[in-house]
Amino acid sequence: MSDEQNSIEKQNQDETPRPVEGMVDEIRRKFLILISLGAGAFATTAVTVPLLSFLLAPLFKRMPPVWRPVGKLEDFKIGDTVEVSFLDSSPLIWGGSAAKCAAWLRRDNQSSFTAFSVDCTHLGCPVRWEPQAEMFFCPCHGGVYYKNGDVAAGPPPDPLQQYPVRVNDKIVEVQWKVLPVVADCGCGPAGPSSNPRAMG
Amino acid sequence: MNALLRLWSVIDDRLGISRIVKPLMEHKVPPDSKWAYVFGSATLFAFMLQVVTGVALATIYVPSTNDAYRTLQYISDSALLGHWLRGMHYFGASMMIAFLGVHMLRVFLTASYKYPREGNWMSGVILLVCTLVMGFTGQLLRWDQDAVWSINIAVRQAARVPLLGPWLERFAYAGDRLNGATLTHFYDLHVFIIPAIMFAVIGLHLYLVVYNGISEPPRAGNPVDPKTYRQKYEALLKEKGVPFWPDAAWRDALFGSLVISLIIALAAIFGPPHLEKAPDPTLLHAYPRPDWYLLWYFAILALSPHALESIFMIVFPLGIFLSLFFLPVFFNKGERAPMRRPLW
Repeated sequence: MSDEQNSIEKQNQDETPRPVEGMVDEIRRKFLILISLGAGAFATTAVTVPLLSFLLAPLFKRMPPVWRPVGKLEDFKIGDTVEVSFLDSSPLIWGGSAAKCAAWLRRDNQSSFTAFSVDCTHLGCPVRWEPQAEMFFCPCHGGVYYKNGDVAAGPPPDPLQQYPVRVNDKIVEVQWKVLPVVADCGCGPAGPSSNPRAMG
Repeated sequence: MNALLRLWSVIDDRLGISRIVKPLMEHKVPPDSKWAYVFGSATLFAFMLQVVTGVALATIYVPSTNDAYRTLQYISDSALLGHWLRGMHYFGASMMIAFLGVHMLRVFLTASYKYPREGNWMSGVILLVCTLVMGFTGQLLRWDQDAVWSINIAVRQAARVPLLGPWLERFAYAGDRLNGATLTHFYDLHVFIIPAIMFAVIGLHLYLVVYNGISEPPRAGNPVDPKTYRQKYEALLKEKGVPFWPDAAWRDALFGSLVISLIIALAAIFGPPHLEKAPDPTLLHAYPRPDWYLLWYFAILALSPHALESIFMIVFPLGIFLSLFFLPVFFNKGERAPMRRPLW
C-alpha cells in the first residue's frame, strides 16, 4: 500500500464517524434532559403529596356535634337569660381556651330552654344581653336583637343562631355544633346549612 | 489599617463583593430625584427593623393558644427592654404602612408607574397587600380578647366570597371554628410565608429600580413614549446624571435613620399597644376593632346597606387591588406631570 493510499484511508477514517458521534451526543443530551426533568418531577411530587395533604387536612376534618352539660336544672330561673360556657368538640388537646364556647341560655318554662349563639350574625362580634332592655346588643356596628333573637336594628342580616338544648337527668345540656358562619350558604366543605330564621 | 485593607482585599477577591456592589453604588440617577424620593427606602428601612425586632420577639413568644398571651405579658412586663422592643415592632409596622402609602402616592402623582416601570408598580402593589396582611396577622398574634374576636370578624368577611368563601373560612380557622391550630396557622403566615414572599418581591422591586433606573421628576410637555423613552432617559443620565452614592443615597440614609430613630422614640414614649383581656371566647364584654390603618374600613361596615354589604366587603377591596395592580397596563404612556393629565 502506497503512502498516498494510506493517507487517503486515514483521512476517511477521521471524517466518517463524526456525524454518528454528533447524533449520539444529541440523543445522550436528550436522555440527560429527560432523566433530569423526570427525576425532578418525581421528587417534587413526592414532597408535594404529604405537604399538601398535611396543610389541607383542616379543610376536610369536621368537628362532630357534642352535648355539653352547662348546669343543674334548678340553677336556672324561669325567664332569666344567663351566659353559659362549655367546650366544643375540638380534638386538639393543646387548644386550651380556644376550645371554650359561650351561649346565652334562657329558661322559657319548666322544661324548655333556648340557647342563643353569642356571635352577631353581621360580623361575629360577641353580643351582650342587657336584662333591663331585654335585648341583645352588638358592640361593633350597633346590631340589636329582640329577646327572641330576631333583628331589631342595625346591620345584622339574620336572627341570632341557636344551639339545641335538652334536660338530661336534671342536668341542662347544650349541643355544641358548628353553626354556619354565613346563613343560607349550602356550599363548600361545611355542606348545606339550615336557615337560622327557621331554627328554634 | 493596612492589614485590614489587605484582609478585605483577600475576601473581596474571593467573594467579588466590590464587582457587584460598586456598579450599583455608582450607577447614575437623575439629578433632581431629591426628598420626594426617600419614602421607598424609608419603607424598606422600616421593613428591616420589623425583621430584626420580629426575630428577637420570636425568641420568647410561644405561638400556642395556651401560652401566647402569657409570653406577650412576659415580654411587655418582665423581659429586659421587652416593652420597648414590642413597641418598636408595633410602631415599625405603623410606619411601614404609612410610608408605603406616601411612597405609592408619590409614584402615582408623578406617574412613575408608566413605561418602563410597570413592573416596579405592580410588585409594589403586591408588597402593599403583603404589608397589610402582615399588619393584620401581627394584630392576631397578640392573642388577646381583641385578637380572638378579630379572627371571627375576618372569617365572616372571607366566608362571603362567592364559591371560595366556605373554604377560606375553614382555612382561616384551620378547622370548623377557632381551635388550637388557628393561632399556629396565623403565626406560620406572619413569620414564614408572607415574609418569604416579601423578601422575594422586594428583591424583584429593587432589581427593577436599578434595571429601569430611578424615574426622573416629570416635566410638563414631555410625555412618555415607549419608543423613545429609554434613549431620552439614557441621554439625560449621560448629560446630567449623578452617582447614586452618595449624591442621591445620602438623603435615603439620613431620612431612613430619622425614621428608625422616630420609631425607637415613639416606642420608648408610648410603648406597645395595650394587651386586652385574656383570649377567652367566653369573656363576652369585648369590643374588637382593627389597628388604625383598617379602622376606617371596619367603621364603614356599619353603614353599608344590607343588600350591598357582601358586595361591599368583597368587591370594594378586590376592586381597589385590581385597579391599582393593572393601572400601568392601561395607562403606561403619555403625560407624567400631574397637572397635565387626568387622574391616571
